[in-house]
Amino acid sequence: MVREALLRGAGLAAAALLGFGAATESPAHAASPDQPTVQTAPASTAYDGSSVIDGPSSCPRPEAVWRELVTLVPPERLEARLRAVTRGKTPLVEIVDLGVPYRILAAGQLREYRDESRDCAYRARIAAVFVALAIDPAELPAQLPTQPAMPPPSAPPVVPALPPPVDDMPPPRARLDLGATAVGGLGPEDRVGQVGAELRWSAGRRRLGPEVGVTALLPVDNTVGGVRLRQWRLPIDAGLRARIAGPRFERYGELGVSAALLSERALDLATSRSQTGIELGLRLAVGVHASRGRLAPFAALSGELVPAPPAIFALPAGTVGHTPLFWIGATAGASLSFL
Amino acid sequence: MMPARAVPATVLLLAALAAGCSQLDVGSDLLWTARFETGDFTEWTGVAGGDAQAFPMPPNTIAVANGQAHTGRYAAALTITAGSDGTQENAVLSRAGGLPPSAYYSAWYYLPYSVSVGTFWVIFKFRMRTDANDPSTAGELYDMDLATLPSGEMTLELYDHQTAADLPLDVSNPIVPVEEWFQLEAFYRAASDDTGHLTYWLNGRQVVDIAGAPTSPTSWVEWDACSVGEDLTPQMATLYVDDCAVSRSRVGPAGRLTE
Repeated sequence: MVREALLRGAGLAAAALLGFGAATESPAHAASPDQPTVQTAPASTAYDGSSVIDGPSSCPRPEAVWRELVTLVPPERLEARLRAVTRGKTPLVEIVDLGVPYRILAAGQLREYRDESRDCAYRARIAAVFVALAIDPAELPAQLPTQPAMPPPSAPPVVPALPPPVDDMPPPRARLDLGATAVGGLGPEDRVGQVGAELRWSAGRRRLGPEVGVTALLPVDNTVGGVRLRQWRLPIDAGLRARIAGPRFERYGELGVSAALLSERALDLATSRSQTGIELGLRLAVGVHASRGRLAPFAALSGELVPAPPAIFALPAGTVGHTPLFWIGATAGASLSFL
Repeated sequence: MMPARAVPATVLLLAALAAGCSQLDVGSDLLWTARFETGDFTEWTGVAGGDAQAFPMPPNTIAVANGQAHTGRYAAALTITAGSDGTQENAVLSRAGGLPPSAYYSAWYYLPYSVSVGTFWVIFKFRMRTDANDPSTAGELYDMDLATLPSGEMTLELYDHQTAADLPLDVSNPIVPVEEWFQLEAFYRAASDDTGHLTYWLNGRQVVDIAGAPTSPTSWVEWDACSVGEDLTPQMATLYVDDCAVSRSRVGPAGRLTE
């Protein structure tokens, strides 16, 4: 449905383009309103498709793009523009089929579009419109509203409006970040470093959206108040992510609450036992990920404040210290987007 | 979606868990304790090599009393009557054998009144065996004694049976308080080589440290918290003992023997 609407809307652009060509390159025709000219078939030019459009694309094929292009731009103008733009160098256009995305390089301009259905005819039309705009960027928009004398063509070629390129795609509906993480705990009696993996889900296309994450950290040995401990920690957090989108990168910040499952086991005491507790804290993070591509690299820094860290108790000393008051972490990995 | 009512309930549950788990008890370095809260001496007599006895009896006695206690309700009352007749009087709580070669030994004491020491008054003792498996080879090693200063105050002296002399303390004439509990703690490593080690603390203050010398011919250890005296004035002296411990780490005055 969307495509049909776009196609209908683009018909006017095609008519305008044809009219523009007639008005500028064939003034005799334009001066004869009683003899309306209906261009239903492209005329040949001094250029052929293979010399202008090339590339290892099977969908769309270069010759299909050429066939569409010559229906959009009058032959004389197309020849003149090609001559001016190519300056003897060919090919002018290169088409690359990347599967769902396809890339068009025309007159030094690069665009990438996505087409999940792989409709090659549709792709050819899209590519032709982009090429037409690339080789003659100023004329088409300027002529659109200024063709009152042009009689409506009986069967104007259908020119689709350009879909948004990949760069202009709406932000993903959700993201799943998976990365390696390293955290350091700081406190008056305990300093510890741990490594592990972090999984984080965030949602929403707006600037603010929910996020939730879990981090699995490998056990580590450390000493608190002279007592050697094996420490294991599983933090879970939830909060809000604020995004600042950019053409190449999206920056974000997160604020939320965290709850960490904490297990401590003494290593050297005469009688040792494992104890499990929960740390409650506030979490703040900043990060960045690439804007392009469904799978993009990301990196983030985080800080977590635990206002009341659990005390470590061992006889005969009693309370020998507390687990860290503050945790800092760095994470890097891949971010998978869901449209 | 989580029901709206579940959110505060979850937060409360997490807060309760966090508050309840605010202390993680990871274990203990205590190897053995005697707090006398059972009202008897089973903490001593119930372990191999443990004993609690006064001899000759009478006039000497041992009892668990509830009049004085460092913590809890009970403490041991060791009473001897030591005249000037040259007789050694004894009230002894002992752990003979079954102890590690290296450990901390701690006990709290209470003197209800000042005592003038004529010959000696031992309150903390280590013994040894030349053959760990032969009780007949047991002998004396180090005695920590109470002594009387010319000022009338009580102090400590460390007697070495191997040299038959007092060893000089790092702290000269440390004052032992009367009518208040004080802690005496030792680190003892029984070794026949230069890894031997003996350190004493009075109320957490180190008073002597002997290291780098043999302390015992074998790793066998006997530790006594005792009242063994001769020629005391007044003749009848009661010493209260509480919160005794053998530990792999330092107990210290702030140390706890129970959660």
